Amino acid sequence: MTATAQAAVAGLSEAVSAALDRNDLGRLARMHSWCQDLVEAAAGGEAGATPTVRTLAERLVVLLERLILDEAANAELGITLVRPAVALVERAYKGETVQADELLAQIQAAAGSAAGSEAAPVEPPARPEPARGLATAKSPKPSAAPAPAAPPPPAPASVAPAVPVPPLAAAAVPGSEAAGGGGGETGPYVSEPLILDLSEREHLEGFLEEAAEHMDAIETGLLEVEADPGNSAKINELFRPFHTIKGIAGFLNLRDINRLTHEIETILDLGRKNELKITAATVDLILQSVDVLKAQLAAIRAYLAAPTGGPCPQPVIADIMARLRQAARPGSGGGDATARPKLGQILVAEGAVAETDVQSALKDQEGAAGSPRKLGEILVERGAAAPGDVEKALVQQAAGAPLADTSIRVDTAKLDLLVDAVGELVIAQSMVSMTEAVTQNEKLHRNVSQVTKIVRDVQETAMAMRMVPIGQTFQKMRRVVRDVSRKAGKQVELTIAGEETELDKNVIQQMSDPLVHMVRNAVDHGIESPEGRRQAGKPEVGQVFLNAYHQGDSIVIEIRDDGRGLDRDKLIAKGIERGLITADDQLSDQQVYAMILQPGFSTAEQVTDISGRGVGMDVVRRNVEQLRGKIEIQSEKGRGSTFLIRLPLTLAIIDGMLVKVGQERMIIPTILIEQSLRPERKQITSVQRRGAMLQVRGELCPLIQLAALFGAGGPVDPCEHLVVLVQCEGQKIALVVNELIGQQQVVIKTLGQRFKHVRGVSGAAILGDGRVGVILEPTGILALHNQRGSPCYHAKPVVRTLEKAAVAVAAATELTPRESGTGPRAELEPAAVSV
Amino acid sequence: MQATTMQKSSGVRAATLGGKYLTFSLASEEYGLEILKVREIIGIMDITAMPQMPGYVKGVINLRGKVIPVIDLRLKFGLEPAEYTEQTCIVVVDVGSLVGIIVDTVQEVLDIDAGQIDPPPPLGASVDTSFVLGMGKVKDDVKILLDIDKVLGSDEIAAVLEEAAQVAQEA
Repeated sequence: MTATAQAAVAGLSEAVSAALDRNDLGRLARMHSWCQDLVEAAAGGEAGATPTVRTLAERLVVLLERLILDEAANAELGITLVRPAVALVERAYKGETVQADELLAQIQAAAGSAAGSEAAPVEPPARPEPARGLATAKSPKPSAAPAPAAPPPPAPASVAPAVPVPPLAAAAVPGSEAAGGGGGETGPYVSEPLILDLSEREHLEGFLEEAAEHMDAIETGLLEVEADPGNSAKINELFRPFHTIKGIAGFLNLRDINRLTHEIETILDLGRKNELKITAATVDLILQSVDVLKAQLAAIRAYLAAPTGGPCPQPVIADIMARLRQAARPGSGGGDATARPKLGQILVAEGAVAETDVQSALKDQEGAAGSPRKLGEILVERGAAAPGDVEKALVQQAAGAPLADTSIRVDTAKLDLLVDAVGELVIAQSMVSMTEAVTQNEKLHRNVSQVTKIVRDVQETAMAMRMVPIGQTFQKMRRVVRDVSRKAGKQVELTIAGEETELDKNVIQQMSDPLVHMVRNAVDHGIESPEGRRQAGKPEVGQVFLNAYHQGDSIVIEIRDDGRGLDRDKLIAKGIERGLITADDQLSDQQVYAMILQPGFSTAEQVTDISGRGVGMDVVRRNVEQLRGKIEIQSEKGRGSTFLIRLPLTLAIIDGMLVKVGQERMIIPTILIEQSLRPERKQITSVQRRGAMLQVRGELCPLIQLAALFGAGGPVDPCEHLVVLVQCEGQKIALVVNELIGQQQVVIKTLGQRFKHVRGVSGAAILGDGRVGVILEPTGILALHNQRGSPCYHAKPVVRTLEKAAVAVAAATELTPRESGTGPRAELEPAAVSV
Repeated sequence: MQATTMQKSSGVRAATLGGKYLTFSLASEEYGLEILKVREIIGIMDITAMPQMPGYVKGVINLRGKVIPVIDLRLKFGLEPAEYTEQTCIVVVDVGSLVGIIVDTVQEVLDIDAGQIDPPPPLGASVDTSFVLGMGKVKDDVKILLDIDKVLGSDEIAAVLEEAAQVAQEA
């Protein structure tokens, strides 16, 4: 196995390619880890990792530790020695004989006397020092506070009997940690109790967070690799997150995680060098390992949440370790006898293409008239390199290019503050721009409108900061589709579009689980078995389609499948059985489909362990409603179903209808509004002259006097004012309001603890004039109405006769009673009532 | 007996009570608020009513983008309600969260030494002294120093609300 050593040498040379800085602890720490890898590799007898390499690496380990700890005897000298030392390591690794003694002595001098005596360079008395080094240098963050004594490295005595090591390694480094891992090819892996140092809590939490992010990238990457196993660039991409996790886990003494990722890394490394064929089975195995890795992370997270003082429980990984090692074996014998040439420096650095070849090729390139040809082309033409190799080298070149980190982490609370402040700025700005002094002074007016534009830009930018593309969440669905379709014995292809569509981060977080559920449903319930599909005359491979796009002021997430579709008759039968509907009900398709969003409603004939328990869609609905969104279902039997989740662009702003209720102005979220109308008298029925109902298109909705319910005024005549129909838990309620003021976007403010018991109000917003308006929440309103009842408007018996008169007039003038806005019937009714 | 122990414990507290107080008047009585609790003072403004709230919770206002509750201290203390005038102020206090309290007029910031502060005298069963820190004697005046956390304890308001909800349920 050359995996570790080669990666380490490559890493080291990359690290010294730029000027080293003593304060760049992150880089030093990485180099430290690579040097340790090298020592390990040498102990394991890896090709290329010669004793010279090893001695150099060991000295570097000590030097780097001292530099990181700022304990080196001569740090200035030390830092300058790193680069030549790495150069020597590179040369030695390539098999050249190098004269290292002088440099070694210098390193020792720079590092300081305790770095280990000349007499025993291999068995360092400095061992306790490295232990301290590990403890303090765990985090790549330079700001890491010095940690108190950390757990010592695994005691060699306890490891040695459990983990057999190759004789060479055992003899050479009795105390080396390498015994447990890289070199240990045979024998079961033995975990050690994991002692977490709680003073490292911050670093551990940081690690967990970072690792969780890598997990997503890993899953996506794995599935891409599975689809295109020969693509070493993809494998290389996958390699990186594992390497990072491994490195940090090493620093934090998370031995199991470190070892597990090491094994995975080994396989991937062989894969990217085409020494091991990555098959579906390999991907399966790695996915399983990733699950184990997740369990490991979860265990640490749980421990951190409730530390017991004892060792942190951790999953058993002996089995998966054995399988990973097994998987890494078949191709490992190949070696890389045909070391591939790389482009330019890479090519020369690899040593397979003579520098002279490259030089002359470069000369050719310069000498050629007109457009210069590419170096790779020339090399291939001359037979100095194989075309495929150059291609790969190019890919490696691209992958190796350092990516500038263009993002920073910001606490969302800070963003919220910014959004709040900007919201205020907008309001203040609009107040200024409307003052008389401004409107009458042209120059001032121009300047103010310039400021208005800037403020609007600032607002948009502030809002955009909370937005993240949904792509990552979509990519997670690949794993879901893959797992579920395997389990259900179906062939399903997932197509993803609209990955770049951006949503509020909170929305994405809350939508993640519902999405998993719906995708799972689509595969498990929607898509038929391959035979079923064949019989139905469809291709055996089912299609699931995920998309996200903007539509007006909302974002639509679409989950579509070409499966069997929803069975209207079956749904109706089930609905009747559950007592949700009666056989006589005339229901629209939408109403029928909406039943699957009810709790406990499942049409699956058998409950599989994947889905069909009837929990789920109602949870999906609840989550979506919490986000002020809604679900639409379209389906055609035998052709498939489409679920559309319509969500607001952001949680911070909603489109609201400003209404006047009594003396107060209130806001109804526009997305909830079905329609607003001025009802006909005969559309209103009251029971015992108390509970009033409004009949709209054959549907009876409770008529709620908002002002009276909220104590903002007495009941008013709905026929003289307006009724707003809003959606509420699958039904509609009719809210009587004094008037509609208009539609506007409002920034939502929470009301805080003090008002958490207030029902019917979900928050507040600051209106254009700086006053506060409450945002109404129908579910609470209905509950309050059901509990208290709201007073009815009584128009006295006269109304009865008037009502008839009104109908008569309506009939006479051929005005069919249908809902309208503030519209044409306005003149009719006041007349009727005032009689 | 009980009164004595109460007085004693209040006396102990009074020793640490010296400091700056914002004084204001309320129905011709004078009160003091620990200045450290006071965030700012604003003139009376339009208040948006909140439903299902006890009368003394007047509603919410927009304090530069923050929506904060406003409480009428007169109503809270069971005094006669008064018309809001030019003099009426909202004192924004920080009791964990920001709350506005409506007072008749704000007067001045006074330095009151611990020695000038007496524990609240027993005022008879009809007066709840639990939210009085002490009585500050400044020249000839006596300022009632309020424990504003106790006055505005969200627990109390929550209790009122829960009670209201229960009553509604029984009805």
